[in-house]
Amino acid sequence: MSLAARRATTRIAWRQAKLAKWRSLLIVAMIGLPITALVAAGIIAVTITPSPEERALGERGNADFTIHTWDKSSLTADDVVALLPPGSEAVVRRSWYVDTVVGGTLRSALIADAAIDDPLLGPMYRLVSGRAAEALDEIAVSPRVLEQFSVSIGDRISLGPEARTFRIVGEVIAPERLRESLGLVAPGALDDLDGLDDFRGEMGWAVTEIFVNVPGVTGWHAIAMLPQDDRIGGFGGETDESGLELAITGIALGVAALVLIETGLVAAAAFVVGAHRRLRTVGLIGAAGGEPRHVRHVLLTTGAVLGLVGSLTGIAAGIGIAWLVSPHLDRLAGRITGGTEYPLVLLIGALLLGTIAATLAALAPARAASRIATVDALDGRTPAPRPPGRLARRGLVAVALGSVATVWGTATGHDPVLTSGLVAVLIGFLVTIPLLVAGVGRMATRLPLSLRIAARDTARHGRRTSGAVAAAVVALAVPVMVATITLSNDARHYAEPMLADDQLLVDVPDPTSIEDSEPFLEELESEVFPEATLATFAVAFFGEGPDPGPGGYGDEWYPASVTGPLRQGDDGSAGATGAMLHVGDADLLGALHAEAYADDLVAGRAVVFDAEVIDGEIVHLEERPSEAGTWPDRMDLPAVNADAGLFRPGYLPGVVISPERAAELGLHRASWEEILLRAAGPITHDQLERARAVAARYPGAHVTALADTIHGDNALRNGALALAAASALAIVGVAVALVSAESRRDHAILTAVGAGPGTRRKVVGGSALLLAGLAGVVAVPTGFIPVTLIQSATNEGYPIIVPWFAVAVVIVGVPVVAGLIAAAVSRRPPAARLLRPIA
Amino acid sequence: MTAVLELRNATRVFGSGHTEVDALVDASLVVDTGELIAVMGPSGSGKTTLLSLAGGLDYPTGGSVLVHGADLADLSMAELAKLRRHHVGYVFQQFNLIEGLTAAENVALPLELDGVARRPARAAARAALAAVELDGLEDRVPQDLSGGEQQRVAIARAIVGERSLLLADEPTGALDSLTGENVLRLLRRHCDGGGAGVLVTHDARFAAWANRIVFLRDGRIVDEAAGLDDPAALLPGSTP
Repeated sequence: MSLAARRATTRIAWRQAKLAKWRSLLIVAMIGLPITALVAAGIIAVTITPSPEERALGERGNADFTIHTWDKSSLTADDVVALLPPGSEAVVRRSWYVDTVVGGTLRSALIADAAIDDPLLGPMYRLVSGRAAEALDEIAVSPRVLEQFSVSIGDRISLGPEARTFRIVGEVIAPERLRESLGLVAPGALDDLDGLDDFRGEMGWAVTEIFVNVPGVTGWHAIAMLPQDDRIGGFGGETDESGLELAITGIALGVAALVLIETGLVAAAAFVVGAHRRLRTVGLIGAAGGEPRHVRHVLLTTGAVLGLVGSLTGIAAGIGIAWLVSPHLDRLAGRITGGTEYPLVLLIGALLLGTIAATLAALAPARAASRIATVDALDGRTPAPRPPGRLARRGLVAVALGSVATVWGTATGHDPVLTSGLVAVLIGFLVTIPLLVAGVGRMATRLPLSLRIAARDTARHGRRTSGAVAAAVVALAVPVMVATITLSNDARHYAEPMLADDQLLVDVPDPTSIEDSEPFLEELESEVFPEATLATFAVAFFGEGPDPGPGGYGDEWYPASVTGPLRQGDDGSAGATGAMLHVGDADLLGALHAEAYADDLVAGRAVVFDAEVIDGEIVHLEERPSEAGTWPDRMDLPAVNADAGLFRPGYLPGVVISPERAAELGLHRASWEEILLRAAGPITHDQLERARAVAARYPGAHVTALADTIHGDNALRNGALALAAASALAIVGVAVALVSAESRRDHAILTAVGAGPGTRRKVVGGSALLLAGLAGVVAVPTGFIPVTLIQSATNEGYPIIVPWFAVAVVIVGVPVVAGLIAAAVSRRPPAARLLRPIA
Repeated sequence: MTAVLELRNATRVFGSGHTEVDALVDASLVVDTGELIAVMGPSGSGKTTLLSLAGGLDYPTGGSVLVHGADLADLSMAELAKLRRHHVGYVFQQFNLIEGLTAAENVALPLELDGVARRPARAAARAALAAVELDGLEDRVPQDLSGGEQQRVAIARAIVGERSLLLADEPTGALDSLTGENVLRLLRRHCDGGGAGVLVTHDARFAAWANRIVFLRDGRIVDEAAGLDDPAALLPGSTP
């Protein structure tokens, strides 16, 4: 095409787009809105996400890496520093994780001994006001600590159960961790926290780290410079998160593309209407000597121009939203973002995405318009649409093949095959829509007058109707999918609960001294569960020396565990299931519904509640490794299988032995115990609420029941349904408006022959109801079948739940609401429109 | 005189079976340089079909259509479009102009579609508009032009670039008699200046401006008559 012809056709496209300003505005909005969301979300995400350099500064300042684990029985921190390559810079930092009760509430804080002006550690902190700690009893704290402890600069702050006191001399933040409750003390101020290294006790938990900078190298290469020494392990350095970032970017682009496909389908409907309304122009171009490519160019240029305008509008709006939100980004990110970033790649990508989407939306209408004979176009005639039957048959074939690919891809783990299968299923359902639309027209004779007119209109304008219905199908299929997945997951959780319905896990304020919690337990029993059984259980340990306390273990203490036999997985790999060994008595077995195995327990057998752990009539106890890094020996213990499928071990013990048996094996029972309560029957909601009320009166007390272990996804289901319904209503609204614009003459004739305003409203409402109903009918199998196929292929034996509520909303609720809204907002055109021929 | 347009037993049938319609049957017609031929007949007699065949907008089912000796059946769609850009101009009853384009842009359209650069195309358009006495209105859009002015713009587009064959389908149908008279004068002037034209009309007063009048009924040419030497005599108030 010559440049002159291209200019001429572009001119026609631009001028005609300006003339049809409402239709053009609709297309601009369809493209602009998702671009706005993409750009705004992208700018915010890029701004709040730290770069690898920022992350490194936040984690280790200017150090190349940290050393946080070494054999402290033979090496001090200074010994480790002495082993570093010559010229290395090193700083030792102690961090004290301390819990303090403040006004009845437990507050946690991280106290570190670091100088703010230290070359390595300095970039990790920033002084906001006051000064840094210099004396050993001084501290600079973060704003969160000031708030939580209700203190200010100049006050004294007491930390930990022993109320270690410091004087607050300044306010400090960690720029990459603004939400942290942080305190900085002078170097050496925490050196007297003996016995706290890597253990958790009443005083808290202390960690010593060495920050190292090796001259001439950076990052992980510096670690390679260290001399090999088995006593030193546990390094912290740069992490490669490029894979995660790529995945996040891919997901974001995928979501944006999906939304643009949705809006593109609606925009395509608008382009079809535009082409039809400009049929005369198409004919005039042909009569003036234009060829089909000139006609195509006009429509494609319209798409490209509107897409460009929409994209630019969306980008501007997205930047505007990001700018408005920018004052809050630091708080949102929990770090100092250092100003909003406007990545050029994102902006250019959004521009291209929106422009291409709109151009693609105009492609089919452009090709169709270019194929219309000039004579027909001059007369305003469009060729009869192709029979939809052949296309629908191909669609059903695509659904079948896609289903096979989905199952095969899921079973074998081939993601490209799975993805292709899902796409084929979706497209297959979408291409059956024209057949349904045509069917609506055929069944119209059986309908009342208004619905009959609406059905005929829907079928007559099938080209633009099908696109909008397809867009609504995609929207409505999502909540069906979400509901199927979440309901099936909930059913799975109920099929394998973490607790039986009559069990309650009780956390007491001090698990190392159950006796001190007697008042709480007595109140719980007397007020809520008068006939309950209470039992305690604790982890079994190989160990010597003092008990390390809850959460603590190390070289001296080693939790005992058992493993089951090797089993082959679906992917061919072999593995064994393991479980911690617990110490308990007959009361515990009663609480675990295993009273029948009390004799076995007394006889020294291990009572097993996870069938995958038992190997015939034995379990394999892993003994304590003789040397670090070597495989432990195994001892076979006689065992009995008590797995009745009432609960899945996790919260509850998987394997129980008696205290006597533990002693025979040289095992210790941990000093911190857990309590299991078995009620006389299923715990009701009222009982659970009363139990929570009792626990609230004892700081640190907590109860957990079955309902607490199942995180229902009602919010997700209902949210997806509401969002999809709103989207579908908007799409159907646009489609009905487009169809109504095309049917103006018909409606004017209705008015002229005496139809009342109610008739037109019923016709418009009927159109909306039919469009939304069609979309719902297709959306249900589109959303349900792929999920069912995938879940069947991966979760054999788990129930597939039909999301009846979502189905009802999609098939009945949305169409009815659409019909009512459309009928309510439709206006009667004046009969004078009849006199004006359509140009 | 050389034949600009020739129909040789041209036939056009639409549909098939019980929906078959003989829109034009065995129509033979020759239009020479300088001739204006009027085509008259009742609605559905095939007038528009004849015009569509003459301009290559449609293919005959039988017979042949020649423009400047070239059989249109031998031409591809692209060649037919080129024919319309170079040799054939159309004028319709109404809605001739592309909304949003100015008068000059509408007139220049065939030239620009043919690859003529903007400046020379606009110059030619201005000359054509001057020929139809519309100088000064080049930058008006169709909404700002009267019906008669729009028709004259359409005529200007039909004759721009030295196109020889002008096909007009009821060009005066939506105009008052005086305005229609002016349109006919332009058509007559074009033919007298070396072009040729085919005018479809219901109005005998305007048909009288033609050199010959051809009568169609049920798709067939049933009669032919000569036009008036002085069609202006048919003006209101004059005696025919």
